[in-house]
Formats: sequence, C-alpha cells, structure tokens
Amino acid sequence: MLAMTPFLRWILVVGFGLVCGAMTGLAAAYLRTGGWDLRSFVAFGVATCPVFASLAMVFAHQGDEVAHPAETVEHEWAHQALAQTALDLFILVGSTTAAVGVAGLDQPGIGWLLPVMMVDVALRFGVPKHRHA
Amino acid sequence: MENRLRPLREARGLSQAECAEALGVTRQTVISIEKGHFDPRLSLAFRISRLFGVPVDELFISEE
Repeated sequence: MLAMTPFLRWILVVGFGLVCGAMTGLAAAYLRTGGWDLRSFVAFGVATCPVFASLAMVFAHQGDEVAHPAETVEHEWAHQALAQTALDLFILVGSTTAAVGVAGLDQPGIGWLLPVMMVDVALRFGVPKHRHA
Repeated sequence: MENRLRPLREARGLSQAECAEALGVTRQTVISIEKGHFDPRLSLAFRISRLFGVPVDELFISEE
C-alpha cells in the first residue's frame, strides 16, 4: 500500500465516489428511459456516490488495522454513536407519528429516515472525534 | 480516571504512535487515554502495565 497523507486519501476516496456515482447516474439516466433523464442521473448518482466512497475508504484504510480493534477509542465512539442514533430514531419516529396523528395528516413514508440516520450517526461519531483530537 | 501513561511513555522515549503499535490500538486511543477522556478495558490496562512494567493500580488512579 502506498504511503498516503490523510488529505490525499480523502481526495481519492471522494473522487472515486463522485466518478463512480456519476457513471452509475449516467448509466441509469440512459438505460431507464432510453434517453437522457436528469432526474435518474441525480437520484442514482447521489444514492450510489456514498456507497462507492465508502468502498474506497475501506480499501484506502487497508493496512491500518490494529491488533485489538475492539479496545480502541474509535470502537467506543462507534458504539455510542449507534446507541444515540437509535434513541434519536425512536424519538423522531415517535414525535413524527404523534404530530401527524394529532394534525390528521397522512403518515409519511419511511424512506427519509435512512439519510437522516446516516447523517445522525456520522455526526454522533464525528463530534467526539474532533473534540478529543 | 487519571493515569500515568504519558510520563511513563515519555520516560521510555516512545512516541504515541510507537506506544499505540506496541499496545495493538490506534494512536487516537493512546491520546484519549493520556488526556483522561477514555478509560481502557481491563485487558488493555494489563497490556499497558506489562509494557511499562508498572502494576495496574499504580498506572491508573481513581478520582474517588
């Protein structure tokens, strides 16, 4: 594995995610409708970009493994972030359901929960990391 | 919980990265333990104790 600075590693990871997301978006934009479709490009590009970037992140961090990963502070942060996100999710869904019920509106779908959870867990992990750095 | 990891590490002439590698954890873990932000598991505490040849109860000091 080539020695990479953290900045270069981030550039490569984000670049790989953007390029692969754009290629997936292009393929979707042309293949789904038989012609150019901006909505498909944006939807598929945005949805797949983080997935490809995450894959690149896994490969970029190969060789960084430690002998006892479960005893690291990062492992502790990840556990706390997941637990806090689960609580956030519980409160969010409960309050939304109650508010919608009281207002007599239609129940919203659950598709919006996934990006909210992803952002929430990233923030929950990132905040202590920056605070303790 | 307070601890004596930093003075012991510096007395041994180890960097945080070298100490982390010897203990099998990340450098951030060593930083967090030294700052008192993270209390290590017992198994890691014993590895630190073995690395520096200091009993665990002399390495970690309870604030109570």
